[in-house]
Amino acid sequence: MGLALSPRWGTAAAPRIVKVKAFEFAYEPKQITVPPGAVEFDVTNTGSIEHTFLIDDPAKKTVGKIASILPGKTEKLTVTLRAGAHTIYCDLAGHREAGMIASLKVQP
Amino acid sequence: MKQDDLRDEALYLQTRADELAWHRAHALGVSRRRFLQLAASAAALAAADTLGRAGNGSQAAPADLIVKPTPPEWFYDFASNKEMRWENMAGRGYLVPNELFFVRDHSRTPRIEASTWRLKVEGSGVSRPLELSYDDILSLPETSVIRYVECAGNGRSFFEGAYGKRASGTQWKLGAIGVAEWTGVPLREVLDRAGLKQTARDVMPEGLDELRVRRPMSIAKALEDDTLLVYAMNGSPLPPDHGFPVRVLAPGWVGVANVKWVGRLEVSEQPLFTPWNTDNYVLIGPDYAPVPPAKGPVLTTQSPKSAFEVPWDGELPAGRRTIRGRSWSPFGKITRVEYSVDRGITWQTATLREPNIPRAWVRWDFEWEAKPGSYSLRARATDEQGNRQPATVPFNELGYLFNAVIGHPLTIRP
Repeated sequence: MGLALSPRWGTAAAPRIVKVKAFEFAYEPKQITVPPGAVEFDVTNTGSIEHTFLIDDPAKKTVGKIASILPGKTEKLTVTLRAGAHTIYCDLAGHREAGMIASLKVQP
Repeated sequence: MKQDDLRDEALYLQTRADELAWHRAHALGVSRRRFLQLAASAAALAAADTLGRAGNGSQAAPADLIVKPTPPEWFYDFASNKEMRWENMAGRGYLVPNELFFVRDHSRTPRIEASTWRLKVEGSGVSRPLELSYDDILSLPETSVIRYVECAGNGRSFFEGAYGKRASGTQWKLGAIGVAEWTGVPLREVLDRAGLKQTARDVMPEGLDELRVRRPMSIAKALEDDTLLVYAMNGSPLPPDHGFPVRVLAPGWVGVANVKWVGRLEVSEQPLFTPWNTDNYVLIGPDYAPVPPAKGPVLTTQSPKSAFEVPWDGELPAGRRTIRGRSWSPFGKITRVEYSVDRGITWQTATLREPNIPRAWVRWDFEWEAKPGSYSLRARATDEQGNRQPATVPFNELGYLFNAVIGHPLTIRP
């Protein structure tokens, strides 16, 4: 299930906000589409164990990272994104392989 | 927890219970295997017994991540990971009691019945694939060793203080380590029975946990005398959180190589790669080049470290104090521990106490006339190979092998 975002009213300079759930072993939503520019990811761990949240750009360079999200906690990450197909994933051992990967499309 | 909480009656009784269990296990001597067989046949009962002696009287339900009680006065809580609080080792013996031993679960503790558990030994590196039951394992030649097991990421939280950014994963301080007496069968005994080929190159234990931990090791490591398939810890059947019914012990290597709940050994004539030695448990960062197919140098041995048996950021009253700690190295005995109470300006030598077992640790102490104020205690160990804890460690994204000298915050009150 995808998620497309519209600008937040009255805060043109503020980053768009994307809410994401992390749990064993997936992210929700699995597909996210945003326009280029600043985006704030509010990532809530709704699972039982620790997770992380990384964004790799189309060249597989990591452009943002939340290094630890404990169960029940929400951590925030603001990044400025350029157009292209990005990948969201958890880099804890075994988590990406188990399904903690999501698609992030950045397109005008 | 305050330094003097060992006077607490519950903790005192727990300490005595630990000591009693330890002495009874030793007294059992040659009949230990039979004891373990009896105990293991009622593994659930053993787990329940452990629960019954828990702090806080808490009970673990099957849905819990971890079976044993992990009250906050014993552990820092990181969900499926529980960090030992070092102050609880103050005044204790050489070994970490099973109840206080740190837990590193990649997902959650699986509940495995010994009666249905099997170990498969297979792959191109053996000529006679095997399937062994728990009783089969217990009937093989037995050995016991005292060694440490330490998470690859122990000390990870200190990267943030050093570099201003966090490395991924559990933000351990220094409590993701423990020393125990491990009893089991040498891995090479099992490999020999499976017809180990001269051409075998890698051995990959596979865990029965949800994520199926698969961490290959070299055949050289697999054949070392103290690389074991372990079924007992400190004289008791291996507790569920520590790998029941059987785990690997790979002394000196990063914790992940000590695969818990092992259900399969793949022995290969070809090098084995999984995400557990290509994407994780490798050093990724500006100071480390990729080693294809791995994203960086693959971790094997841990690194020398030191810790104080003092509450982190705690308080002690002024006066003459005996400050204690422990140091360890994967490369051999610790030969020297230096300490500083003035933020590293001057250093003295601590007194080392026996035993001092290679790939376990050494206890040390020093006397200190503590005056009121804020302190940052430092300790740095040197091992018999000349390895000394460094002043800095390069950043790596997954936060492994941090062993730089760190400041342990402590307040001395009037």
